[in-house]
This record gives sequence, C-alpha cells and structure tokens, in this order.
Amino acid sequence: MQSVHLRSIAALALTTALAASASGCVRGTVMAKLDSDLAPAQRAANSFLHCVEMGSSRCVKVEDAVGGWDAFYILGWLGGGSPLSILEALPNELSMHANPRFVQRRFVAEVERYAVPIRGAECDAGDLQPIDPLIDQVAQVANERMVRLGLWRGDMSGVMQGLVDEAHETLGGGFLVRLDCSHDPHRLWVATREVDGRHVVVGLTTLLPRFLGGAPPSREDVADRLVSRSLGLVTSQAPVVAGDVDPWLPFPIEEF
Amino acid sequence: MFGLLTSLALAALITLAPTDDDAVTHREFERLQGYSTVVLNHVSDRLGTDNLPNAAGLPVEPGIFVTVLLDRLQIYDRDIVGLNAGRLDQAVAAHECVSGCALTFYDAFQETWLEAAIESSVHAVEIPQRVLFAAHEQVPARSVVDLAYAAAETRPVQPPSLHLLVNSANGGLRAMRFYLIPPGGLDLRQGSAALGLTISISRGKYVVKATDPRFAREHSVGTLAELRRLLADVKRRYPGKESAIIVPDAQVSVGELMAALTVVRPGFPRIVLSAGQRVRTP
Repeated sequence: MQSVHLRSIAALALTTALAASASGCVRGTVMAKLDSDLAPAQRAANSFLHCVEMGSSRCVKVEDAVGGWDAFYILGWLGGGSPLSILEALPNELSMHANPRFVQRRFVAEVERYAVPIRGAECDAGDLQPIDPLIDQVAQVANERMVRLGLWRGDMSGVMQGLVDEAHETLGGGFLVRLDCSHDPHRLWVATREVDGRHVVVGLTTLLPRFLGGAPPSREDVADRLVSRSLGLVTSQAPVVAGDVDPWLPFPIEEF
Repeated sequence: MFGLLTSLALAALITLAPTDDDAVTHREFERLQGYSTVVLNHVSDRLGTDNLPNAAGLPVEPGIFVTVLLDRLQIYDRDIVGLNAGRLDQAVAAHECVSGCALTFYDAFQETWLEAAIESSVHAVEIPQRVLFAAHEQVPARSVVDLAYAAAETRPVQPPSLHLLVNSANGGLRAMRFYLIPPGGLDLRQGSAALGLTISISRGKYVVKATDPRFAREHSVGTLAELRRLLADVKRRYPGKESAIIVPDAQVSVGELMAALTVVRPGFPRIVLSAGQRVRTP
C-alpha cells in the first residue's frame, strides 16, 4: 500500500517536472497562445520585450528608429520634466534631435540600460492608447508650460511645431503601450507604429509625464527604482571630508 | 553580450543612417534665460515676492524649487498636496523617515529624486544638488523643516544643500543656505571642540543653551533685543564659532523664524535647523 502511494507521488512529481520543463522549452508557444487576445501593438510590445530578454541584437532595427518618438519624448519632457533639466539640456537635446544618428543611439542606449533588469522583471503589455491624440495633448501642455515658466523664447514656436509635425508624420497611427512589470523597472512604455502591415516598437521609456501616464507608481516601486542598478545610484558613494562635523554638517567641527 | 551585440548594431545604424536636413534644428534657437528668472517668475506668480520673508542672502543658484503656500505645496510647478494655513491637515509620519517627516512629503520628494535620476540618465544632466524653499512668511517654520528633512533623507547618495528663498531689500530674490541636524540626532565625540549653540524659538521666548560644559547654564530671553545682547556675549566668549542650531516650535512662522535669524546670523552665520533632534555629548 505504501509503495503504491510512493509510486503515485513519484509519478505526480515527474508529471509536474515534465510539465514545468515543457513550458520552459516551448515558452514562445505558450506566449503566443496568451497573446492571441491582445491587440497587434500589444503583441509587438511583448515580442520586443522577449527579444530584449533574449539579448538579440535585432531588437532595434535601423528602419524602426524614428525621430517621431524622440520628438514626442522631448515634448513630454517639456510638458512635465524639471525646469532645471530643461534649461540645462534643451539646446543640446534639440541639437542631437536634428541628427538621426543620435536619435538612434538614444533608443539603443535606453534599450541597453534596461536590458538586464527587463530579463527578470516579468513584464506584460497592459493598456494601450492611440498616439496621435497624445501628441496633440502633450504639445498643448508643453506650450502652455513653457510660456508659464518664462521659457518661451526665440524660435520656440517653430521648434514646437516642428516637433509636433515630426511626431505625427512618423508615429501617426501608432500606439503607446504600457508594460507592467513585477520588478524593476516596474513600468515601461513603448511606442509602436505600423510598417508594411506589422507593428514595430520604435521607442521606449520608463518615465512618462503624469498627465499622460495615468496613476503614479507606488511608493514601494519608487523606492525600489531609486536603488536600482539601471540608474547607477546604488554604487555611488558620498565623498567623506576629514574634520567635518558630520556628512549632514559639512563644515569644520571647530566652527560648530 | 547584449551590450556588445547592440553596440555592433548601433555601429551599423550609424553607418547606414541617412542625413535629415528637415529635422527640427536648434540653429536659431536662442539661449534660454537664467534659472533664477524662472524661479522668480514662478514665485512672483504663485506666492508674490512680498510674501517671502525679508532677509539678506546670496544669489539664487539652480536647484529643485519648492513653493510652500498657505493652501498648497508645489515642487517645481506641480501641485503636490493641499495645506491648511501652511500645515498638513492629517500628517502621518513616513516609517522610513528617520526624522519623522510626513509621509506625503517623503513620497513627493522620493518621486522627484527618481524623476531627476531618470532625467539624468536620459539627458546627461546632473541630479540637482540644491533644494530651494520659497515659503510664505506665515507658513509654520516647522513645515519647512519637515519638508527639508524629507528632501534630504530621500536624495540618493547624499543630502542636498538646502536654501530658503528670501526677499532682499536691495537684491530682490536671494537664497539663504541652511543645514539640518542629522535626522537621528548628532553624537559629538569625546573631547569635541564643538560649542553646539542651540536656540529654541517659541513666540516671545528664546532659550539659548550649548553642549560645551563651559557654557554655564540655559538662558531664556523674551525679546529680539535681549537675544542680540546675549548672542553678542556668547560670540565674545567663543569668537571662532560660526554655527547656531535653531529649533522653532510648532507655532513659529517662517517670518518669525527669519526675524530671529537676522539677530543670530551676524555672529553665527551658519544656520542649522532642527525639528528637535538631539545633540548628544559623551
């Protein structure tokens, strides 16, 4: 009786192990089945992530890297980014944006930055939004904000319109897909567009202005990201100056 | 492996990349105005520089700017939370905040630093090292101290330098730097040369004490004139000391704090604020 029971347990364990092994080996098949309920843009987002997870060099193709995503991202940054970074970096950002090589390099750099964390992050495509209305929305917010902050200068009107036109031209008909992840980076957004009847990912970001991105991240996610390797903060050390009262009071103890 | 492969892909991309003269260019784009003007525009619009405390200060340098109005808190131009006469209605302390700062403040700054870190990685800019507080003079000083601790405890790597924006009679918008006692208190070493001059401020009462055993006893005075005389005497006895720890109680406003600081700063220009953190001697 006992041996029958043991055999049953062994058989069950073997079946479970085989099932687990099989699901690991034919992972693509399983995902394809799950993806059947998704929109093409969401499937493209998931495929892109799987590609990044596998470390393939073909995740970013030359024809996929377009200035429209870069233009959209800059508009979003102007609408919701820190005025400090805008003031410091905008001229350089526009200069780089004018160079397609830098646009492509930026996309590749973002993919590289998050390639390692994405592998273990268990991300899946969530909500998607048509990108055309978002382009107009983000442009309006950015325009108003630049005026309000007193940053509207010179040829800003032409610059903003140029960014909007470029975004519509090369992202038109595309989607912004949110990817929810169990671990760092917790949330990603990718932009897709249709090329020859198929959707391809043309941009990626982990930071979207609040007015576009919906609910803010949880406090646990924020805390986790602040110590993530992808942002490089966890390995940084504060300088220690001998003779100071304390790192919080960086002046000589004799004056305290 | 992925890095190498994508680098190779990038090299191919760069080689194949077409030139695009139609892309948006910045050739005619004028250099943007100074950051202090951006801060001044915002403070004038939302707070009014007349409502800032009056004091002398140094030129405003770039940093995260925080506006503490009577009815709301803003970081940059983003509304964070509503305030009631400059206070949170229901303040719950964040368990991670060693100083006991409010959860709302802690979370807001943590998110701000995360955004700064992401911007730093994307746009190749530094994570800000300063935080500038523009507070209505009627706002409780403890709200600003609480915010300063929240900003400092959440910044990655090390605390930022902290500045209170003031309205200078001759110079317009200026910044006054201040420090914080470490959130868990400060332990002085055996034989430390520190005086640890501490001034506790409540309405109509200033209590002056120090950690140095030669500083005989606690002094309590009721007016700024008396405080000025007392501090002049302390300065004569300890001419090398430059710092004063200021502990405002919950009723003291930013304006009242600044009035006291105009008396303190001539002799002790290095202002260290505290929410009651202890300075411990062996």
